[in-house]
Amino acid sequence: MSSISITAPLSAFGMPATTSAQAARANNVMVGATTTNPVVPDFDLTRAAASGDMAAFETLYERHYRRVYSLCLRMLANATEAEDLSQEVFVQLFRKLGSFRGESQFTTWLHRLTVNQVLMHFRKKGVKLEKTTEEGDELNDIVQMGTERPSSMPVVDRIALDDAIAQLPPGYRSVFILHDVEGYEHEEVGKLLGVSVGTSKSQLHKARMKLRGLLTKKL
Amino acid sequence: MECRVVISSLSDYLDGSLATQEIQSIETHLTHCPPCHTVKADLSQICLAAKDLPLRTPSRALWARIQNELELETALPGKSAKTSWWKRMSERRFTFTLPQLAGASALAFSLMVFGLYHTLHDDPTVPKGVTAMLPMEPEMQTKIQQKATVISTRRQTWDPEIRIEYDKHLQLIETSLNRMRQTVVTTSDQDQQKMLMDLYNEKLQLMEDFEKVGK
Repeated sequence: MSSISITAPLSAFGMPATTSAQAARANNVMVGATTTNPVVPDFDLTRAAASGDMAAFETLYERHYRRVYSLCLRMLANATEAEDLSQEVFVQLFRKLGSFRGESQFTTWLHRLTVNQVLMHFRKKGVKLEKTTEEGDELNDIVQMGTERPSSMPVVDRIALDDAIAQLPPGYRSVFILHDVEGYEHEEVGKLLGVSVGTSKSQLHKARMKLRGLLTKKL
Repeated sequence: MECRVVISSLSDYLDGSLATQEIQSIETHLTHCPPCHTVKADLSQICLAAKDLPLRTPSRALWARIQNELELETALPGKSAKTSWWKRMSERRFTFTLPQLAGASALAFSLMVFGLYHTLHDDPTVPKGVTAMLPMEPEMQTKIQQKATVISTRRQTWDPEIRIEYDKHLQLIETSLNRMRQTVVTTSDQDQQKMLMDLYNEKLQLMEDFEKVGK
């Protein structure tokens, strides 16, 4: 039986579906990305925004800004940088709207744009992603910690997990977020980060084990 | 199967990327090894929770920042034709030498005298026939006259640089306006008449933009 229990109900962070994202933003509360204006598809909004309709662009922003910001924040683990980068993502989005042909889902396209911006930011800052081999030494310590203290995991919630993710080294964090949070396959993660599939798998496992260790330490 | 081997394969096991035989070996081990089973269950919980993390909210200023940046970008020369005279003027930086300022002041004074003369007398550059050809022209001239009166008092409060800029643009428009009047008289071409009215509108727009200065 697991020693971790994910306790925080997501409904605690949600808003009624009828509440507009704009009102939610004005009150600085959380709201799901799909609660605003479900009538107009994203693709139609991108067409309108590409021809200069700022209201359409604002609706797109309202639908997606929290997902973009959350992704930036998790990958950068720095609120100021995450805001700056979110701004850059939406400015880039505005410039590139005309090239979106609707071949993929808008959210997929936007997330890819966001990930690319974050990785570009890493490169500019000279952040080195861990290039450990598939058989790194660090894993041994983590494995021992897991096997020697099998019942020591605290009860954690999603916020604790979010905090633990922020403490991961940048490389592990990137792989974990791309694979486990954003749902990219190892092949895609490998291409984005410039590592092999094997390294992506290895780093993901280490990231998960490290998270388990960090959550244990919280007690 | 050793615990070390099982644990190093747990992520692949959870992601479903192992062969059937490996899966069976791991499951057999997990049945008899509570510590490894706990690790597997913990990792499983972490994976599950990662797919449903709460969204974070940036500061309220983010949209305003994005909007400002986009507005600046679209306001660059050549990207928008709707930028007002005053907006363009206020975004410019002015540097003048003393002789330039003196020359411009003399020019401004001459223009003021010229303007005053035309305020007190009928405009001799307007041929009599033009008014009849363009019904809107007298109305436009009246409007311009009213603006000129307001500006002649208000311009005293302006910075010298602004006065120079205003006079320079006004002179350019008036030169074109006078030429166009001559053309309209001789050709009676409708396009030329439209261009003449556009010049009047441009002159009026310039005056309206500068009218706000020092208000």
